[in-house]
Amino acid sequence: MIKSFIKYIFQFLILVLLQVLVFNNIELWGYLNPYIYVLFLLLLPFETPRWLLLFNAFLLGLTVDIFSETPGMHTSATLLLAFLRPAVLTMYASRDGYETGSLPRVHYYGTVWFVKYTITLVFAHHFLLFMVEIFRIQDVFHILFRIILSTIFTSLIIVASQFFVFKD
Amino acid sequence: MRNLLRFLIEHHFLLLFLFLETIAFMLLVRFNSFQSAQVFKIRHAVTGRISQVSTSFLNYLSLEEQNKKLKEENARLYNSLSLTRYSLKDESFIDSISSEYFRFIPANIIGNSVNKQYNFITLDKGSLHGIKPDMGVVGPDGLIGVVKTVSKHFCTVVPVLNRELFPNARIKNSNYFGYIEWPGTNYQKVKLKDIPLHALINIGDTIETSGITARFPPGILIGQVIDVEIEKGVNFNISVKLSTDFKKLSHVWIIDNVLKEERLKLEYPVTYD
Repeated sequence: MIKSFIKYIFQFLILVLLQVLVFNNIELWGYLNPYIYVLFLLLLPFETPRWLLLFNAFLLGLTVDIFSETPGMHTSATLLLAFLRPAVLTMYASRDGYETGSLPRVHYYGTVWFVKYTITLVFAHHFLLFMVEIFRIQDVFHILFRIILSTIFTSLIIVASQFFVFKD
Repeated sequence: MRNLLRFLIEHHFLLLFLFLETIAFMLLVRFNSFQSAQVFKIRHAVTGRISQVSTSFLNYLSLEEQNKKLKEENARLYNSLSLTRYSLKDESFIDSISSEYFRFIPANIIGNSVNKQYNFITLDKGSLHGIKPDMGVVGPDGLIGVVKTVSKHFCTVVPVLNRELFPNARIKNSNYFGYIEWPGTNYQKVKLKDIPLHALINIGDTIETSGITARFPPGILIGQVIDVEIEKGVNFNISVKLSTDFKKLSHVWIIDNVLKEERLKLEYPVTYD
């Protein structure tokens, strides 16, 4: 219990640092901003209480916001992701549901399940994030294009990370 | 209370989400200059529109009062105008106590006719407002007529368009005076009579009140000369187009000559004895 707690804190810190130091500086063709820090919320155990999920999302978003000097922007998007996570999990559950003790990972439920799960939540996150960033109705198609490309890019990195970094 | 608690527990996830999201958005519009500017813009657009609509609505509601105020203001300006006119013209015997002095009382037309031989106008002011018979009445475009009968709240006016009334008139600038007579046909045309043949008169000359009767101050517009003929080699037959359109009159001023009594007493000592 304590061990996994420390493991998640560590994950949190690593992902935030990676995001603000590396991925925040990537802006491919002016369109693609990968926001891989949401992986932290994706990997939290199935049993995480829903309120704790929200608090984690708030803390994560706020931390990234403080480093990128955009208070509230990432926070609102991560909160939406956390709010939708339980529903998305239920939507993609197999007939038997999720086994106790298992984690939402490629290792337990396969690549296809993980890709669907990731793309859905990352899209929700990116959608609100980019909308809040632009904060007006004009250029909606341009923004949607950015959202979709960035969602694909972020999801690619997240799924790839499952094979190369989080192998266990 | 228990229901409320149960509601809170049941929906704690949604409520917590909304609460935290609200905080996030508050941070967003508080600390991000672009987003706060957007919100400011939208808020102002909305409140501006609302206040615009409500102001125009309120203005509409107070139209009547504003009209009343404007009329009173007009009356006040007329008053000061007649004073200055008088003091400029008759400087030689200006005397703050005894100079002739006209007061203008605003009134609304509540009855009017133009198509009879003896037309009358009814006004919404009466003896309660200090109206007395024989006072002059003028409109925004000039002479109207003379008050005939007065009740508590109303009075009737004999307008120029009545074959009983012969108001005094003069030709502006040359000062030859005569009287106006309505032949009882066209409500826009009257005749100017009693002008001597040696007077110079042209089409387009302005006809105004002469001021030789106590009802009207001098210089109130009556109309313009549109036709001049010489009748039987003895008299001018002058047609005058009235400056006032009696068909679209709505409000007028009744003229109270404060020093009328004194003047008439002097002019007709026997009848006023």
